[in-house]
Amino acid sequence: MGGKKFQLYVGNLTWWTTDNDIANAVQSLGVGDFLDVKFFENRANGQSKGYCAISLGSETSMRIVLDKLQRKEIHGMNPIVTHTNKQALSQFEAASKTRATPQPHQNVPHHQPRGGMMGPGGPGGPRLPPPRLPPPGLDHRPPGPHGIHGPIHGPPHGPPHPGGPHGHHPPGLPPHGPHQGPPHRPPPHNMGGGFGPGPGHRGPPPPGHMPRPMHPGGPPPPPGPGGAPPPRGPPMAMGPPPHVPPPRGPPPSMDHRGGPPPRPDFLQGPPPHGAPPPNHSGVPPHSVAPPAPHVNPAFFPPQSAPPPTVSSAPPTHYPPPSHNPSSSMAYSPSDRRLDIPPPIPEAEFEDIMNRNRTVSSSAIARAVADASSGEYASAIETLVTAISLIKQSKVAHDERCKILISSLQDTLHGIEAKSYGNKRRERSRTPRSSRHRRERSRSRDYRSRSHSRDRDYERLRDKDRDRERDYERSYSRERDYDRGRDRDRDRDRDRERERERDRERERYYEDRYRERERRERIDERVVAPVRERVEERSSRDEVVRDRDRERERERDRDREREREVRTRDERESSSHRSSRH
Amino acid sequence: MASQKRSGTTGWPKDQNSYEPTYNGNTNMTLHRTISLYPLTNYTFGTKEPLFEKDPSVPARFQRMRDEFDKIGMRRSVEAVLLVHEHGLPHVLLLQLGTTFFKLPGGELKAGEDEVKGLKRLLTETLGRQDGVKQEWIIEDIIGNWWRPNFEPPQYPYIPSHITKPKEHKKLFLVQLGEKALFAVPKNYKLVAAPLFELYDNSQGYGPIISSLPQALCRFNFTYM
Repeated sequence: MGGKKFQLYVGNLTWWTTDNDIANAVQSLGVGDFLDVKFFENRANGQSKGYCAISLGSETSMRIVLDKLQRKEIHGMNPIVTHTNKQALSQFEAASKTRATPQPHQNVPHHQPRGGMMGPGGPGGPRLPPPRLPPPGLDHRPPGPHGIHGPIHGPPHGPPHPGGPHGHHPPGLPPHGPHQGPPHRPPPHNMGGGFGPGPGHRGPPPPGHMPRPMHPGGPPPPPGPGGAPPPRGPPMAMGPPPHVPPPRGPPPSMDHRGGPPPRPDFLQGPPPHGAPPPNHSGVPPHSVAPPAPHVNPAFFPPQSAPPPTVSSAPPTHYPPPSHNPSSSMAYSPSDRRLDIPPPIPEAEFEDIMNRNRTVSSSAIARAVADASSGEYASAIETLVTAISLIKQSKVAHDERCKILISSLQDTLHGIEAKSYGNKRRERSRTPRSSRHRRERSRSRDYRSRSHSRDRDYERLRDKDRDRERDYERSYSRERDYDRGRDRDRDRDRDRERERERDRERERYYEDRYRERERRERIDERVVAPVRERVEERSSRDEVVRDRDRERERERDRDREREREVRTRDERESSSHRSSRH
Repeated sequence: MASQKRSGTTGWPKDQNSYEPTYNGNTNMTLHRTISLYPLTNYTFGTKEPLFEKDPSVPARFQRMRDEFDKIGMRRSVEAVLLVHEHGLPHVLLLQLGTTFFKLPGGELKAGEDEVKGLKRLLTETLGRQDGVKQEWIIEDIIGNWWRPNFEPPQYPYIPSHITKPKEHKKLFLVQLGEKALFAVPKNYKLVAAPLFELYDNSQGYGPIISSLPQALCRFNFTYM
């Protein structure tokens, strides 16, 4: 490992930029004490996030690199060099999330998939175990809040930006045209089009653009919209306007519907809906872009793994929800975005439905288990969460969902009745009561997050109206500062919080459910048959075994620790999204 | 393809040779890989002295990996997939360490050692019988390559584009077991036979490599003896 003392971050790189490329570039500046480079990668699939930390041997070298490396070109991109501080890290991280991973050379007329993020899932791929609710589609369109990307993806596909390099720019494009068909062509370049790569990977396109669209009038810049070949690189918006929110690329829409407040995103402007969709759209047409950043299928957490195979069968076209393609970002895309209610394609519908079914059944199972062991509070919470999740989903209006909801409610009433009968248990809705059962890191994140939000809120009340605007991270667009608004914001915030909580809990349930199932299965079926045989022959060894068991236990601990690390890392990379930096 | 014999049970023609027209008469072995699986009950499992891992802890493991990388370069590991069947479903033999950790038999190759020979050596060390009877291992095919890009746990079935020097390369081999055999399992391990459905889509429980074995094996044509 290189020395820690003289380190810098180098970002705005393509994902295929190697350690040798970096070493050569640095050494060509005349720096003789280049020690090491370590890339930041998506844990889920190993893909580079496009930025790295380099270790140098001296202060002078650092200065040289800080100064001169950005003038170099590595695979068509100009690196951005910063000191190793948290802010830079979070900026790079956000950029990597918005970088859409394009689909693997799509030659197929876009279809890209689903909304979502399927692949690239942008954000660092928290790949999260597939069980994550698949409904990819959801992501993109997250009902409402997601505020994060605002305008961005407006142009998503396309050329929008200045002059739409591609020319096709769909001005006429219907905002979300189902599949973004036409617009896509332009993106091929990535360049501009914004979205393309949107969040992260998806979309072959654009490297480039992404960031731009974001701000209205944002400087298209850097990579020059011109198709810069390196598509991927959606250069972090960092370049030009520091405050410009990093390309949001269809953010990981996956993220969550609730709009991931924690995201480092900077002010986003109107909640980008659909930002994610851009991905899709971008993607298809890109056949043009040669490098076509691949899509990281597994990436998208919410969605289930199946990567959209190249071109074929776009899982569902995702009507580009938000993707207002054309138009350069100059106009407030967000408005447009909100107007378009995306129709739900069938496959996505089914996905969501299945997810809801899973949520409901696992919630009921867990609640019943809790209730029978006397823990009514958590049982009730479980059910309430599940109910709200299903209600929030896109298919909530469907009969089947209504049935799920009503069965959950029945269970809930039953348990409530029992709990009243038994004890006066406090039925607080705060998750904190059962926090100890939840995953530790999650709970810590959650608690600190909600604390900070509380604090923010308090401060908000007392501070300037203007400041309020700044702090506001959700989607209220109005400039009305009435008390009424405050209340709305309050509600929004609570909703956000709850949604996140829900999400976390859901994830947790899925995991536990699966773990429990698996444990049972393994204990019963797998080990038994063989153990019989093994132990038959080694009765004498029982004694010896005892002695060894201690040693074994030590090892177990190590193994388990490693496994924990592994799963925790997976989880971290997913919750990485949600924790502030 | 005129003469297609139909097997009684499945729709696939029994005679597979009729499918090889295009290869100039050479049997292309990979077209129909047939692997014979025997019932788990055909095999007997004894015990032997414990076989401890080389590294007492996870950090020690990565430290030794780093040291060896500097000296001999990328670590080459080989692992063996031993298959048996039960109820018409292939089962993979896994070594269980503790309660939650599973691994495939195998290990690290010495510098410059041949892969197949090294795998046979490691199998004998791990599961070989100790009663002096010669034990043959038939290494049938390669079923996977996994790389570790950094001195960290994650491994992937490809080398990410930005990595020029992976730290470890793991090769998975399919081993064809004989009709009957005796294995001696070190006392600190348990040997379990995991059915494919147990592994499928269960990377939480087994990690990415073992949980993707069903996919890696599905190309074979298994005969359940």
